[in-house]
Amino acid sequence: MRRRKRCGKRHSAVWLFLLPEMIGVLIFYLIPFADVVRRSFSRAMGGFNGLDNYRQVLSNPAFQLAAGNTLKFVAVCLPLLLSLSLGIAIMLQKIICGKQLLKSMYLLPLAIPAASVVLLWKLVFHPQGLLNALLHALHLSGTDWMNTGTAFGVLVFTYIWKNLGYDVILWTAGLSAIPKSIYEAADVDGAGEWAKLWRITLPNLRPTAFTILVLSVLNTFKVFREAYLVAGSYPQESIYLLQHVFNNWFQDLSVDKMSAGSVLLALVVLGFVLLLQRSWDKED
Amino acid sequence: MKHNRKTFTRIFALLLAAILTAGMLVGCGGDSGGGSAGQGETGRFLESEVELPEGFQLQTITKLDDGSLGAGGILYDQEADKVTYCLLRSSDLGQTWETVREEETPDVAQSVMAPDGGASVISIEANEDDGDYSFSYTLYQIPVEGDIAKQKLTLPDEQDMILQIVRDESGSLFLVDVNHDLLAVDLDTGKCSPIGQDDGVSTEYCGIAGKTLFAVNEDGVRMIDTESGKSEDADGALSDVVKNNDYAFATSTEIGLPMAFAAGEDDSILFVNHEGIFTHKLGGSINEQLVDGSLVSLNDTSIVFLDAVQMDTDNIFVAVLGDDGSEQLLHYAYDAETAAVPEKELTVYTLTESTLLRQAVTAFQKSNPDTYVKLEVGMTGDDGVTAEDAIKLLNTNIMAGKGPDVLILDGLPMDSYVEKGILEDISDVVDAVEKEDGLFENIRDAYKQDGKQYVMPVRFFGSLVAGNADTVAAGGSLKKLADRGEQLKKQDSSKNVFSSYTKQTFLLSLYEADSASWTQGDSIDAEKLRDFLTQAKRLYDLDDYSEFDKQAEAEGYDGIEVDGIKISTLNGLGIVGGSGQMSVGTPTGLGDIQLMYSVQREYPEIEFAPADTDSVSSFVPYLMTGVVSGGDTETAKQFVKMLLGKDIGNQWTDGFATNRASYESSADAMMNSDQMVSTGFSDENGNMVTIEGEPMTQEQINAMTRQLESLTQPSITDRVIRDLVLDQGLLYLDGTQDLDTTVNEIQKKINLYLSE
Repeated sequence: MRRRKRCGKRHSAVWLFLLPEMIGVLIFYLIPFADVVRRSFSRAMGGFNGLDNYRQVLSNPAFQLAAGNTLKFVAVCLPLLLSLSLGIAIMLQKIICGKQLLKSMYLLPLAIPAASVVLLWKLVFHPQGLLNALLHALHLSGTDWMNTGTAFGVLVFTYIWKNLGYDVILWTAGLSAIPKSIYEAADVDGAGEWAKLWRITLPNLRPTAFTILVLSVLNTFKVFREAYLVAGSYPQESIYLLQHVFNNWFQDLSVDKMSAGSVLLALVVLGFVLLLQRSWDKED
Repeated sequence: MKHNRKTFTRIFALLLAAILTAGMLVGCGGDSGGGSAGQGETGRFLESEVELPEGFQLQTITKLDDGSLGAGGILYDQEADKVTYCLLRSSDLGQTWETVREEETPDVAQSVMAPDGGASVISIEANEDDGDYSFSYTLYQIPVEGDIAKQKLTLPDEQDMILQIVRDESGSLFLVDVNHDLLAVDLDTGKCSPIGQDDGVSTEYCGIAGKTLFAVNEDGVRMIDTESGKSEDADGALSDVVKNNDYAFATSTEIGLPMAFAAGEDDSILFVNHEGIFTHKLGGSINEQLVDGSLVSLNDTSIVFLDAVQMDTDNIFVAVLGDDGSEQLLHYAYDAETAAVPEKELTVYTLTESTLLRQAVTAFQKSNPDTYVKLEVGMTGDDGVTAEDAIKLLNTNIMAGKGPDVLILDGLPMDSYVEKGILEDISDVVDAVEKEDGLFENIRDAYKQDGKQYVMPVRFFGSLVAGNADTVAAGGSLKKLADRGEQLKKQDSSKNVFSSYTKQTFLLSLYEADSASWTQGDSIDAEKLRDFLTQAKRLYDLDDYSEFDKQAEAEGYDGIEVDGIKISTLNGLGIVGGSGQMSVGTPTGLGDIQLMYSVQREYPEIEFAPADTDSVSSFVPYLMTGVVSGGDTETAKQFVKMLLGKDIGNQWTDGFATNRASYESSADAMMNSDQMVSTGFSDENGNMVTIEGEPMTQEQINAMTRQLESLTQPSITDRVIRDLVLDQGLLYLDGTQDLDTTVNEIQKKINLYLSE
């Protein structure tokens, strides 16, 4: 009893510190989301609409195109980003000189504002931009990078370029947490580099991988900023993402469809995270 | 000790938590509404217009020595066919006037009254010498009684012109000339010499209070002592008024000022601009607002100020010149019983700034003093806000229940708002206007939906094609027009075919004429779009636009705007001037039509007719108005009724009024006015050509009216579709992409947009 009372007293200060943030999350995230869920069952200007909004959203060709593109984008970007960033993090672990400088270089793209990235894009990927000039100099033909199917590749490149450093840092933190004694024991047992990677590094990085995977999925939605600033509300088809649809619905005051779409998206992301967690826990 | 430490930790934790919470919640909450009086407070200045004698053109006002109000100006006596300079006096704050003196004074340019009731009048005489024009000025000192002193003025420059005259309390006169010099007049010799400009600072215009001249320029306000000639910068508060005022230098000061000064009470100065009437204590750091411009006529940016005078703490007079050239004397009288802020508030939203709307707001407030009309402009142009940002903010406000009461739907997703039930059915309002004044039924019918009316344009433009008879006959389709264009080019390859300003206005002019025919149910007919681009390219390739575009870029020219919206005006004069042989565009109003008929009188081979592409005669709607449901719909409908009404319509010349009575009134003015618009330009050989404006005939008015009545479909005004077509179309015109790519891109994006 005395011990429980002492624990409660110790934790009360913790709760007091956490309370403002929790109130903030409640006021600025949870309550508004509850309102969105409510609106997803109502018409734009009020009045219960049942599941009609969901039916409209799911049968909407623009939403279907955007959802397909977004799924394709996530499916292409995630494996690429995770594998590249892990590889770089492992290599950085082995480097002794210039490690900090290299880490900073990788983090630099994250610090560049979206508007600056857009300017860079326009300089590089414009039909008369730097990339086409380089290709012409090499006697290769250029293309309109942002108005053809190559726009998808540009978007993938931008996403990876921007988020690589962030994931590298997270992987590095995960790698640093693996006790060196395990590697030493493996060396004694004669394990090679690949064996150490598969049997020691990757299993120990699972908790980190879970965090990185979830954050990377959420970051895929942030690439909309650059796409929107470069190509506007109606970009090339292959980079027409879910956020474009939501943005355009907002302009049209189609708040009912926007809410239904948002709830569906939130459910998909939540489902993905829960599934991931479940499969992680199973493997444990 | 341990116990104290624990207590301290708890208190510290509580304090930090409280600070964190307070920090998060700061900034949440409603409008701070700084500066405005709260509900329940009483007392404000009410505006009324002072009736002036018939034929009197006000130029100057002053407070006379005996405390009465003096006014000076030109009096036109139509019966006697006489023009005189007239001095008036009113001892009852403008309710009645007595004539103090009248004198025949030739060609009065500027004048200023003296407190004794007399006036200093400057007359102007134009002299021509071998094609060079110069002006000479004579100063007439007209006392209340006695002889008039006459003195020829000698300006520093022979080509100089006087823009403004002011008088200090000792009787010294000062002028501002067209070179932005401030001049002191030697009353004995008539010589005008610069004053207060040792540091080379120029003067756009000036005001005077006592013995201090306030010289206004882009850097702020300079104060000049009229006795010593010494100048110094005015305090920051006064200079900031000029620097922060968008209209401080927006007008030519030859006819009026963007700001007027007067001596205030208790060693302060009074100044008047479009934001209101203010008083400022010299050396002080604040300007006290006596009258809020947004509640009175002062907010109308089309007016300029002639003069101002503060009679006492409760009475201020301001002389203004309206957009129509008529003078008004406005009286601001303090009423302690009236609510400081009108009880009712009506919000009108427009995406872009509109002078016409501001005039409408002023007019509505005048006739409804218990209502404050707040005009919200989505894109002011000063803050980098895009149309999409503005629309998102508007939608957020609508969803939050803080939306406007009246929407001007130009550039807004009108169809979406109608579909969502945002807009109220205004059939009752439109029916009432139709019953009182009549409407262009064809325009009204284009916006009827299932017997209801949610939107009604207040004005509209019509697309015309101009050229010779064969060209005008080809205006029935873009293909025929392109065929005709190629024919003209074959006849004389050295001449331009299409008279347009830039490739942007070229494409816009064809879009406005043709887009109405593309609508196919809920989508766009791809074949018609393809045909539009094909024919536009054919016409575009006939001429070289590179020089036009270079010039436009160098001048920062961004297209023709009428009251803030981009339109493609008919370049009829360009045909005469040789810049082209055909033109398609929308005349800015009846004035343009009158000009076209005047051109036709001199050049009978030039004709014009509606651009009937694909047998769809289209119009471009302007100021599409709707009332938002759920707000103060009653007051909102009254505002819409006023917008559609004859009274406000008669004041506007942009576009054609949908109100028939207003249109016919404008048409009458075109037939009967003595002051027709004339214009001059250089032809292809560099010779100066003048087209004298002539009144239109009844037949011409009837023909024009029939043409306007035949317009049935609005051009596609949806901002997204229009921007998609024009942006991609320009890429096709200049060869950046081919036709198939262009059509596919436009089609895909429009389909995507429509499928959302």
